[in-house]
Amino acid sequence: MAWRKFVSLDYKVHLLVSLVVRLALVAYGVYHDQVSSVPYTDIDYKVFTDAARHVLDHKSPFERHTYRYSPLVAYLMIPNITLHSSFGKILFCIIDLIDATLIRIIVKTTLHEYFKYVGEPQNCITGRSRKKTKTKKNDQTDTTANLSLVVWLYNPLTLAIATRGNCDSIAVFFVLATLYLLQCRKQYFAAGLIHGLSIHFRLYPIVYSLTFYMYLSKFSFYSLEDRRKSHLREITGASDGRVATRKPERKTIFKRKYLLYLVPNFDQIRLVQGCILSLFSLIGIFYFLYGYKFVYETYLYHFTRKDTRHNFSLYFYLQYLTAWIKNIGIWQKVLVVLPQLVLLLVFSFRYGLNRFSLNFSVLAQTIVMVTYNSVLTSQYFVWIMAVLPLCLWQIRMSVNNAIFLVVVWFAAQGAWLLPAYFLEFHGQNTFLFIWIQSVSFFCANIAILGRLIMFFAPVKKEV
Amino acid sequence: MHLKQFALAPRPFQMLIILLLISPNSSKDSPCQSLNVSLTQKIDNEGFHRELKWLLERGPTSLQCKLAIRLDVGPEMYLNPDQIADLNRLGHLSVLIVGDVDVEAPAHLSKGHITYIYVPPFAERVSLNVPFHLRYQRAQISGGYGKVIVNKPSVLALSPQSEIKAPCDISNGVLCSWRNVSYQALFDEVELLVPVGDLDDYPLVSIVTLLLGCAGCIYTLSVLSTTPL
Repeated sequence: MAWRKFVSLDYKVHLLVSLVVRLALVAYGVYHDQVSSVPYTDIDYKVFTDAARHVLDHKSPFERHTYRYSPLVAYLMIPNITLHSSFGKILFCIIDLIDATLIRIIVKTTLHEYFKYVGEPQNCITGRSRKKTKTKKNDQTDTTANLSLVVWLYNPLTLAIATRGNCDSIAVFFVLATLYLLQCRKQYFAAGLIHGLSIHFRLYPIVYSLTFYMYLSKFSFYSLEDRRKSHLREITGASDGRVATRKPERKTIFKRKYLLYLVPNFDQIRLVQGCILSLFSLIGIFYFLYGYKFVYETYLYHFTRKDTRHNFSLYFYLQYLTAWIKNIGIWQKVLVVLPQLVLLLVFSFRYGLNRFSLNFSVLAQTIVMVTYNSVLTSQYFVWIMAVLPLCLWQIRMSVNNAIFLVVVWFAAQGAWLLPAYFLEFHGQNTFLFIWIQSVSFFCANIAILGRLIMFFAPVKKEV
Repeated sequence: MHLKQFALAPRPFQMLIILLLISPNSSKDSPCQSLNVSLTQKIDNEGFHRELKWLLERGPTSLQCKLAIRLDVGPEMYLNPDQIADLNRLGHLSVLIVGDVDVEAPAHLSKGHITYIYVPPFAERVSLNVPFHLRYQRAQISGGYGKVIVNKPSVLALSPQSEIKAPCDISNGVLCSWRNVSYQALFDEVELLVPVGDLDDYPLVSIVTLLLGCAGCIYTLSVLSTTPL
């Protein structure tokens, strides 16, 4: 009960409270760093600050070793030197709050759209009762949106990432902003621009591109043309179309017909134009300014990366064992890349082509990408945490089930930490055990992904 | 490795001879001639993150003399420049690392670096704790542990007209003349062990890992195909 009351507080209160919590953590970080030799601040934050110093001296930020980010980060961090060293962290915290409001707006809009879609068929509502259901629905929308907001704002991972000075809240901001522009504002060119910027900023949103593209397809079940028509005709027409396309889809995963979906319409062209325009102009500008080093450090490094130190990834031990052996067949590389590529493609088509599952598609793809990544640290989980609240209301899972999955996920991580601790701090050879735990963590992730897919229902059954 | 080290490292015998030749009257000009220095070394912690603990002791004479410890860090280990910068800033240490340190590289792909640890003014004894880290080593057949040799540090004393040129302080701006001080080493040469991946695991690991990757994909697709959208 208390929990429900807490959730249904006004979202501005939540924003304020979480801002205070964040600022307190930033202040604590400053204090902690002064007295302790084990810093609270993330190592990357120092890298950003040093890079910003280079920029101030009219030098390339890439002169700072291990600077592997967009130069924009260094520009944003300039006040770290001119103003105060905690400026960046506070900026990240504020962006966290903006992320939260974006999450709230996206959830509200998608819920509205959903209610518009499912609520109308029982059409014999009188004016009075419609008003009543409307207020009830508004209430429900608000609580659902608030719940998503709370899940993001008070997530310990988000708190830690922002206050330790990691730039991922900005990366996440761009992803959310793209989703916002696509779903709430329907400004596809602008969405493309932001998407390009977000790819430039952190590369990983590139896997969402196909989903965004498919979302705008006129083959999408709940399409724009339908919505422009009158409400009644739209609903019957759309739901008919939905049933028709749904039936054959159950049997196969890929059909040749799908290739037709790739033929662009004007909205899609706008999206692609925006994306290419911003991405390539940014790359062009920074290539002109900083040369090949920029391209290598920001993009190519992530493909050639060979970080063999232990991490959560399923592939870490295999990579370590084969890291400096020359005659490893290409098949190994193919088998590492292929499964995730297949999953990403299938998700793009399947969920991209439903008007209500864009957010879930992004979530599923993020999980796949993180789970299958060859280097996996807990910092990457924030990418999942940002898009999970968006489709919380669509995952019709019992609370117990959800708690069970969360416990499994944390238990798998904890089980990994034990052998990793003995390796890292006691110098015992536990590589094989770490690998076994990586395997179980991978299984846990895949099982959770499977559960999420099973319980995901973009439209309620009884409608 | 050992040859190189020999070439770089101090030559205590020669120094001793020089010391004997120079004799009492020159010790009046420089306070750093007859130092009675002893060094105790201990390595704390296990695993990849270690700490060198030094206890430097000297006789009651020549308190003004500025000392430094030079450590040639081998390729199997490194001092983290960021961590060192923090320690310098906090005033716990003053350490200078000469050369670039790639903290991510494995042992066989990296070069060693030279570090100077400047000893703060002290009366009789001073303890210095320098954190360092071990690098990953290439996986080998039958796994086990790889060896890391911690080089013996050399103690330098600031004295004009000596042949060793080394940076004066952590700003690495100016070179000063330093003299090798022969010291009494109250420790043995250490060899650390670092866990190494076992290539015998390769068949198992590669088969299970790669199959599991595919199995995860197939499972997800099967779930996907049984759930209506």
